[in-house]
Amino acid sequence: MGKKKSIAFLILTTILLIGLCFVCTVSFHYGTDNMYTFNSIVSMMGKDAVLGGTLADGETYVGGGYSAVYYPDGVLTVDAYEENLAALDGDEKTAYAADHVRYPDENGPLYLAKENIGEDGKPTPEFTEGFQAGVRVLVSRLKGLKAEGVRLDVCDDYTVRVFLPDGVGSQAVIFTYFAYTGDFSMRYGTDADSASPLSMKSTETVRDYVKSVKAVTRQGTSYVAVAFTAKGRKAVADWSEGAADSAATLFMFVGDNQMLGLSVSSQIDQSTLYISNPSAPFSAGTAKAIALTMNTALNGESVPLTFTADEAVKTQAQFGDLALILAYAAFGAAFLGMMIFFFVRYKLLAFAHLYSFLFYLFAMILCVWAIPFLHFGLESLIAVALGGVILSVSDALAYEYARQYVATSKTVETAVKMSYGRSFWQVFDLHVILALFGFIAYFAAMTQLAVFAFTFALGVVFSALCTIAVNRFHWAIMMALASNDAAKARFCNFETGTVAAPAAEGGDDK
Amino acid sequence: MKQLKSGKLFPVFVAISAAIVIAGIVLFALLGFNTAMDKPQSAVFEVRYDVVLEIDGKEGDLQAACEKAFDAQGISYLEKTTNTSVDSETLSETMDHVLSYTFAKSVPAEKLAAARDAVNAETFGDASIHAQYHLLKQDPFGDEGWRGAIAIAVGVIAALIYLGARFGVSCAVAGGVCTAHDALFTAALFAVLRIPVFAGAPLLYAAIAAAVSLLVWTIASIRLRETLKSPEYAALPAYERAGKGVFSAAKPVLFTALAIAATFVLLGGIAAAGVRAFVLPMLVSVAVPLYSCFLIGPWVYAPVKRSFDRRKEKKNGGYVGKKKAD
Repeated sequence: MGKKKSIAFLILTTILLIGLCFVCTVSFHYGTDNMYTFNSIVSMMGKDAVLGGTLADGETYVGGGYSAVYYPDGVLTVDAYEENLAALDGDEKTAYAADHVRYPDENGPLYLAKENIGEDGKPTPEFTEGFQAGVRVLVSRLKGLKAEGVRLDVCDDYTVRVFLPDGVGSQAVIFTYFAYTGDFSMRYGTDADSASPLSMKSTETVRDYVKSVKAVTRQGTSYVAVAFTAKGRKAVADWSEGAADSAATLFMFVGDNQMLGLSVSSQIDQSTLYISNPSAPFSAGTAKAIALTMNTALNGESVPLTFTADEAVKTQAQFGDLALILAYAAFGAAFLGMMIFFFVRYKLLAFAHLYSFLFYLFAMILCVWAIPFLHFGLESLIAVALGGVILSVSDALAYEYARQYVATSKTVETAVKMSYGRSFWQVFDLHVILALFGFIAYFAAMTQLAVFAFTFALGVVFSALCTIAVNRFHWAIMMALASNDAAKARFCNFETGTVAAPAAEGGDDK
Repeated sequence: MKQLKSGKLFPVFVAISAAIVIAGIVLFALLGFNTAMDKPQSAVFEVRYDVVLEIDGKEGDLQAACEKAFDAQGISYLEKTTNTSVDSETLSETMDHVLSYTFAKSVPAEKLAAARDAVNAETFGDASIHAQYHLLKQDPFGDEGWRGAIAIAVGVIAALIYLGARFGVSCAVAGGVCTAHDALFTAALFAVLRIPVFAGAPLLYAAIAAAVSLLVWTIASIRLRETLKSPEYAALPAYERAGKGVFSAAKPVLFTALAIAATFVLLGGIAAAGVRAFVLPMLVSVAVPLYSCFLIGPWVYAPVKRSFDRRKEKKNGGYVGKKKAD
């Protein structure tokens, strides 16, 4: 490649990198009185809740998460009990006090309804089993979110405290819907109260009519997909046969709580019904919360207690507010250390590695931004760092091979070609093996490990592209800037003709 | 060093690994991992206060009153946070706040109750405050561990199939043994040494150990193949060839491991306390693959390779392939 072309390409890729750096990391205010804000991709994505979050628009804090406490029917806090008691007078007050027992002792933090207390003064086995069934259903719903950082604690034996990180989204909807217990049911009619339920035989359950409920997102719109059995499809088709003449609504309930109401204006005859809300479209989180609640009510165990979510608080990030800034600082230090090594060992050739590393970094940032389930947690940062190390090692491998060839009096240009020929399949194999591990592990893993495996695999793919294509390209155009072979060797800090033959030459491993 | 390269100490290393892995499995079955970092069981002392206290600037007084009550009971907290109360249906802020102290599960409930009563007896002008304590027990979402272990195993098998296709079955078998060893050994070390970790973290450490193991063993396999092609090693016995081949990869393997370790040290060193506790144990996931790559892998590779070569020789009637031109 000619010198002019090389300079032109170098300028172009530099501009591209500056542009990417700007779009990814720089936020600023502009316009009259700084009315408008340009948000960088990193600040916009709001995916760093676990690590402390940022001020997304200068005002809204993104980070930490929300926790709420679920109270089963017949369980009260001391404050709520005292508040209720203070609102009553006379006999009512005495009766209310007599109906409640402080738990676990006279100093305890809860009051339990006396009907749930056995003769031995302890909660009845039925109540305890009902509560535990509720916890199991809640756990299966929370697991279904497949989100990192979600936590459930049983609090004071008979309440449940749930933490949802900011990155999960739709927390209010999740808190509300996940409290719903009871069986899944469908009704059809003009209003929810008078709607007629499915006419089932005594031996049948709703599972004979509905297979599953899932959340799906197609072309940016989220739906709740209800899959019917053949019997269910026929039942809904029969129901809605006259819908063209008299519009009605298909209601779906969990316990006594209406989850969905689908206005029907023509006959429904489908095996899967995709339900959305045209006036207020579901967010992906809302669709997921509805689908998980309905599906666990349909296929999960029956919970005899009802739950109420209360006492929600906005909490700090798990690792404190400084964790993200410190993680960036650590990344910066690692980056600096890496570049010092490359500049000391390979002088100006380190720029070729710098360009490939920056392309890798921005590609990863863009992926984390664009792929919904990825976020800036510790696992993804570790995976990005590992990918960066693999890229650096692969670049260094090619440089070292070239150094060996130059040392045997080969020209730099020939050495570069030979080093790439020698290292290509080695680098290729290394990356394929690691990417296979990452991608396949991702499909079987859940939450934390899934995020790590996928980010790692993605990092390996970009590492391969950057080391094979970007690094080679920049090396080639940078070499063209040096006038002769000696200058090229100096550019790369290679010593010429110091040994007779390369130490171990494997040749092309194809 | 000579003994290491000749594989004479191989049985010793196998015994060490087996002992640690078995002890780890037994301890894991009996006690699980030490997930103290996640505070699986704890007590929280919470004080809900309204905006009046904030306006009056008496939040410091409230904290001082709480801490005085704790001192009076002779108890000390692990963590203090101030959170904002929100409506659970809309998540809009209610203007109330919650001052929260986390205690170890060993703190007696009676002492927390006494501290609660002492704080509730205090007055802070017109502000309304309610102190209460709660005992928390985390549900660890059980089956994630099994799913994760299967995920790592399936990922490793897929990677090894490719490794086998490119570098030979012997390399894949040795790589499989090393990777399985590293993932198990890493997890076992955390179980045996009772290192405090976050729930789910040992699985991630095992996954990182498996990834690093695949990385270093692939580098070793590349060098091993180059070495075996070299005529100067042809006359050496299989064990010696395997040892020399893998040890010839020492430089790139150590350089790679050092780079990963340095990154983990920086990420853990310049970090918030919780992040440090999460990242620094990952150094185990780098050290274990180095151990298996040099001290176990070659001596698994050599007999497998010899057996395959013999079978091949038998099948080909003594023909062992076209002699490579020098």
